[in-house]
Amino acid sequence: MNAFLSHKAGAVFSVLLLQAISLNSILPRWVWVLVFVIAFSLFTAVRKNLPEVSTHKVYRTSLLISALLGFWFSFQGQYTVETASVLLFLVFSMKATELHHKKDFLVFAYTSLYLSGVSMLFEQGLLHMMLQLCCVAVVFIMLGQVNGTTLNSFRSQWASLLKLAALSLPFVVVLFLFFPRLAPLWSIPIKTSNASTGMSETLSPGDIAKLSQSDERVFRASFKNMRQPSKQTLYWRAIVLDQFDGTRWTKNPDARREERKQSNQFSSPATFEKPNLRITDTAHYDILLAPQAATWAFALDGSSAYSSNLVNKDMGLFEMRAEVVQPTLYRMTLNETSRLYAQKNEVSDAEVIGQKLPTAVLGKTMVRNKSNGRFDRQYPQKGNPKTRALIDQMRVDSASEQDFVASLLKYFATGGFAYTLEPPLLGDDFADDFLFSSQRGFCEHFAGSMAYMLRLGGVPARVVLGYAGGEYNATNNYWLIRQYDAHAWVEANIDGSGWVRLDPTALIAPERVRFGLERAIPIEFAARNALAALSSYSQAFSWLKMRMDEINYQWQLLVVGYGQSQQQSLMKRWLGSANIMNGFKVVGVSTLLFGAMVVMYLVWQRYGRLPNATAKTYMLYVDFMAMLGHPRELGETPNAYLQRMSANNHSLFVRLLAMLTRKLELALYHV
Amino acid sequence: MMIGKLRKKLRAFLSLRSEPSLSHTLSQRTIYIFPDAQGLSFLFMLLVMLVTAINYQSSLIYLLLFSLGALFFLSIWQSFLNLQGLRITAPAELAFEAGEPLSMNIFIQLQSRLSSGLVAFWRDDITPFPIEIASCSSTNQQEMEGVNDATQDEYCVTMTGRRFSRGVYEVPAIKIQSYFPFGLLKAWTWLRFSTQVIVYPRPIKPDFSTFMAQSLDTSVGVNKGEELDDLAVYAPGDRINRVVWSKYAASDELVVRSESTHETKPYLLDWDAYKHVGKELALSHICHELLQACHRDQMIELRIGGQILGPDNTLAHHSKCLKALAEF
Repeated sequence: MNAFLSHKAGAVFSVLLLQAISLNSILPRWVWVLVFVIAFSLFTAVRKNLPEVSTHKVYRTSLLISALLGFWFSFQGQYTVETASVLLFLVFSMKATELHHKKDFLVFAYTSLYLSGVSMLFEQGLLHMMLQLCCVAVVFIMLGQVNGTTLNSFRSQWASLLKLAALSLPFVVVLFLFFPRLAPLWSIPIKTSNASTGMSETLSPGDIAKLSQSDERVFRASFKNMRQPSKQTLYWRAIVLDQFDGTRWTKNPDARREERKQSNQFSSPATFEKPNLRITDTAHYDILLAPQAATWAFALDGSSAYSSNLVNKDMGLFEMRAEVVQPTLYRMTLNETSRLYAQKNEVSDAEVIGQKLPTAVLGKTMVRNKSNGRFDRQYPQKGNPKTRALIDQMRVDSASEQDFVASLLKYFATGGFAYTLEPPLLGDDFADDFLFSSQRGFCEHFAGSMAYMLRLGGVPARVVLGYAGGEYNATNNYWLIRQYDAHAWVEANIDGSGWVRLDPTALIAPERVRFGLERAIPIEFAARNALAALSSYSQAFSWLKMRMDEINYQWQLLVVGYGQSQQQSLMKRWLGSANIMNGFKVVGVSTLLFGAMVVMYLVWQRYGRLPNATAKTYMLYVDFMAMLGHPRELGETPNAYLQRMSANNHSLFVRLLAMLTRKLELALYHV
Repeated sequence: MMIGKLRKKLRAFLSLRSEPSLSHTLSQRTIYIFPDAQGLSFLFMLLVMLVTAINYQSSLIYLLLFSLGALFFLSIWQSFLNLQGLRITAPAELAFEAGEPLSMNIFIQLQSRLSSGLVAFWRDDITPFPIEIASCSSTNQQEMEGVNDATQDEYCVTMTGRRFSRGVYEVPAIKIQSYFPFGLLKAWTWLRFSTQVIVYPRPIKPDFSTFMAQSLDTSVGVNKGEELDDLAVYAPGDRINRVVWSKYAASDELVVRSESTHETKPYLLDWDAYKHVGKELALSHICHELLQACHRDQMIELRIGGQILGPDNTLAHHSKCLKALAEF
């Protein structure tokens, strides 16, 4: 490999493959065919020891035409950063087929460096960064080769590069922390396709069960200024669905229009500082969002947005201001009632069905907005005759709305329902089929049917989508929420006294909210998610997985998530003010300091290796004399030098030289 | 036009900073570092990357950008270190015949570090002379213990230049340049050497038949034959060009011509004896005879343009004679 890389074409080959691997997530499949064809021609160039990669014109033209055609058919004129990046990659790989002059290599090398940057838009993992650093290193070695300045051995090239990198590290850190992060200049959508997994804004049976197959990270949350909340109170709200058509729950477009009106009112200018809120003693939590296709943000009940990258929406929901194409950090504060609630363990406030319910089943919700009767009581006029009859009966039997809700909960608790990821398919009358024949379902079945039943009974109700629980990492105090923690539950406005959470799943499978999916239905879970299941059984594996995630978390939190607001709070803490000019000052001063450090290194190289202080002083003085125009000749001994100098003049300088020479002789020979 | 003038002025200013001398040690006073087109386009790429980082608020692009920027910054020092401390020495004098290309050996002495990718150029010439770090004479000079403990390797580069006509010249300035380490920066230095270039007339063997009319000095005749009493047994230290190889072939005995042989009979080269063939040809003839005599290590006396040089047979004398011929 060493000999391979020290060949120019070998370096080009490696750079091309590394770039293709790291951009894999956005490259259409056919690009790989192209890459392999080009890589093959590079490989043969190395094998045959050709000085340059020259390929036939016909071959090059046909490659170019097929690349352009492929690009056109893949994207059809869509203009996003993603398509631009693919195009840049194509140009870059085409350049690899015509490397004749120094200029060609330079274009190839600089395009590769820029591509390395672009690839960070799509991939932010630690591994990806390392891959890209390798790529950058090879590009720099290639630059050395092209400029004919290669050091003797390939190893010394790497060694000198590593030395440089180590030397520059402190400077890079300072620049990274203090170089002012400015606001974006313009915006072009980054992603073309929303191919990533995740929740959608509708709910039909089976939707959430599908997510249980994925152990992809959704977000991480860490609580500050409060005791860790108990797992079963962690209901991360994301979407509220308030329209039911008989099988599917969706967002009500009319309600959405109103919501938009409201969010316009809410969107205040982006201000980071909220002077009346002292974050140092307010209970809050930070959420590190993994890149996702949608812009919704996750929040517990009773939260308010602290960061400026969030927008308040109706119904206690939040939305990110920008696309979440890279890990994004935001901060929410938690009000006192919610904090107390979150730390409560087993029992809820209300004794609804004559017994104390787990907190999860019935949560007091803080969202105080008025229920819009028209939207929250809506249900289809036809279908589900059995369910309608059941509800009518219940409504007649109960004295109040409270009673009705209690008997509904009792119905779910005692109705013989089973919690499964593989529920049987349901017919058109979704509720009838589910409640009276199959009785086997996943959370969306329970939530969907319960909200429907509440509405049938005249209680405003809606379905909430989000995640429940999470995996707690005790060493680093954060919760990791994965796709398989996706959950659906119900919120109802009983007696118009405000929305409360009702989770039928917690009645049927209490383990789900208390311990998580992997404990509630271990076998089904393992069948879908072998790796995640393994970690819940094997201690070692789980430990390893935790540590890996910790490293990733720290990386994302400290490096990837470091943005404008983090910089401002850091500057406030360290410099006293978040003024942009301060950042420039720090960068300027550290550039000078860094320069001074390098000069000191130079001085050390010249004098630091001398045996003693006398020799150092002598050499320093000789250099001074050289600057005055009286250099010591090569190979001239100190004595001969002194004699030559004193032959010409007897100035103070020469007398000083005489003194130093005497001292040097004394120090070296003890004469 | 403007640029050409500016360049000339700049060069005049730069060469002011280095006095002509036989050897130069490169330091911050003489080393210039600047990015050329290649480096500037790298900086432009960094600028584009900065705009991308700002626009997409990407921490990682910032990180990459700063790493590349720091590498660029550090490579300034690297390229400086690559040249700093180099000691470049030129010969005090170059002598070659008219019409031959200039050819000069410059000696480069490295400090303990290895320098890489050095290329030398003549002023106003684009032919590069790569300085390959493969020694042609590697000397270890023991200096005063401790003061200069690094072994200093000396490398030699032969630079050939343009052709010269007869005369005495100053050697053209030399540029030493490197793109180390990544080609992003060009580091260079202009060196003016006080080397004297003596371009002596092209030697042409005189046809002595044309001299018959002249009254020839006895010493014009060349080969006197090797008389036996001139020979002595070789002793270590005797010059090798005095060995009588015909004797050695015959008897396996090293014998040398005794020093006294030619000292007593200096070879007189008188301009007046040659001038009848025309100036240049006469100089060529004298030069030929001079070189032959040098070769034989004969005492020479040159009388030209009113000055009398010698008789002597030292190297200094030879070059003095050649210079006289070059200047005449």
